[in-house]
Amino acid sequence: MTASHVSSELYFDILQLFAAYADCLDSGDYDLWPELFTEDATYRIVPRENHDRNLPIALFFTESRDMMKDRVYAIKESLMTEPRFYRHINSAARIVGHDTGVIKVKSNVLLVESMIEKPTEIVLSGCYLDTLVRQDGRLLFQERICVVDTLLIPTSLIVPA
Amino acid sequence: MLNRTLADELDLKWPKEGAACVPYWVYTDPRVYAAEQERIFARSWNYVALEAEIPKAGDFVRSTVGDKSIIVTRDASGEIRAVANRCAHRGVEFCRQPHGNAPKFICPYHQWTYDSSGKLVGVPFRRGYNGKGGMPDDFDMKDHGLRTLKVAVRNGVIFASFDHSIESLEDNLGVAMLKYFDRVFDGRELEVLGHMRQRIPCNWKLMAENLKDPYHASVLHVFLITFGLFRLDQIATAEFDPTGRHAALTSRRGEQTLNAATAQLSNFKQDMKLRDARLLQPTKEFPGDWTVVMQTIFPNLIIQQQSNTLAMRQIVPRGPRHFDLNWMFFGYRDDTPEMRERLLRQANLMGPSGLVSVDDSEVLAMSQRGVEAAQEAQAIVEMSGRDASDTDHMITEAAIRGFYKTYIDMMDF
Repeated sequence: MTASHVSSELYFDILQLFAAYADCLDSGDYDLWPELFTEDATYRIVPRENHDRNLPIALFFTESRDMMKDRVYAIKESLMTEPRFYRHINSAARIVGHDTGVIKVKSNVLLVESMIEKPTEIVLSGCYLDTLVRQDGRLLFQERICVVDTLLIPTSLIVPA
Repeated sequence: MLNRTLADELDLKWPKEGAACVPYWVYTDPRVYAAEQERIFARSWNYVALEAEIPKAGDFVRSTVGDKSIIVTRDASGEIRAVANRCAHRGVEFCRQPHGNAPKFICPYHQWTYDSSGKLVGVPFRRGYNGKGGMPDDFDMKDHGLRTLKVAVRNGVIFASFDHSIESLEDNLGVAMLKYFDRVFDGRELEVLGHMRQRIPCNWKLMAENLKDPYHASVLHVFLITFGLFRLDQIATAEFDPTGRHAALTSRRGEQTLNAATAQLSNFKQDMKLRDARLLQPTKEFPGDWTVVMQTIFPNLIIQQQSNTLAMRQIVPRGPRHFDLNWMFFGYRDDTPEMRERLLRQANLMGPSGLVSVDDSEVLAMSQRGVEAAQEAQAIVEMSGRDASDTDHMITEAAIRGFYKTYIDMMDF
């Protein structure tokens, strides 16, 4: 099957996964976030200047669902942060590969934050490079790499992009 | 202006406590900020790049000295050069690429062309066309090069200064600081592993203070405290150069155990356990017993060695109320793959999303908001006394006093 011939059911599942991802992070249900990944999944936020030159340093460098849970613990319990609301805006998905149950997807992301006493601000603009697989009927991220165009992060990036 | 200090001129008065206090106007006043560019940044050795970023002839990287854009380049003979990123003709910041390779610099506006040493080598229509126009006869190319900086390189690290009469880098750092500098930069070949950059809405000096303040690190950062990476019950020192402007804060890793010190720390979490322990499995990498050395080189550099992460943190002031923090992570060319993995995982503690550094970025923004509303007030910097001498513990603010001792002196307050 070629990339342009995915079923509308599959495409619907991909959009549902994207929506679930944004919703759990924006609603503060952080515990749901690792559950959208396979157990050995990779999640990284990579500045584009590093990605384009194959430099490995990442803002989030996460190599397992358990590492994601450690991040969630930090967000909920250990980090000292000012209160704010986040909104993840994920564009429609472009299927770039679909072979033996592994789906490669590319999409754009905009992350904005809203805090007291200042206007809403763009935290980052970038794209997602995703590898999706189906496990027990559920579509999950095997890998999500967020490549960030934004060279200067305003103050902090606390939650996953 | 004879015998008038900057404080007189600006009608500002540094409080009588000297470096044991900091008046809040130093974080907000645009006149103070402008004076810092000339009196502090232009006259100091500023960290600008690693040699590993520009390995080949013609390689260049954009950097900054204070808020001024500069270009650091390696010329055809292999020598490192630094020039201001401002065309001598009409002031255009001609280089907008963050890095690249170019044997010459050409301003896009009128194609004035400079060689890598900053010498002006080309002016289109300098002699006019058909006997008309052109520059005056007495226009001398030699007088119109790019502003150049003095360069010093030590074991792969490049510093630059607009002050061509500045003392040598080694004299400036002093023996005590060179010992720590050479511990990380021991001559081994370095490898750039990537950048993180953030803009924080506070005055640049609050960042410099943050890395000279082991007191906060041992009470604020849950990750450091809980996992014993930096905590006040550990063996630690704060050491300075003779002027107090540079400092090295050192410590040895401790255990996650409840004791007389951790019992006082509300941020110590005895039961906190990582689900994936790979995030923090530090191993001994450097000679000696210190597992963390945070070295602050006046005015713009923090050399971070925390467990196995290594990074240069470059402070770039952006007006009195903002600064950029540029993180450049590096390793050694001969690192094992396991060491490299440790470094990448431990980098999760650092940067705009760092499990430790987020606490700092957030609290710095809150500091600026506080001082904005209290220009008449001042910060108390009296932990462990009012002077700036070496200590064998971390319950001290002596390094901040050392910074302001030099600051007051250079600014003529």
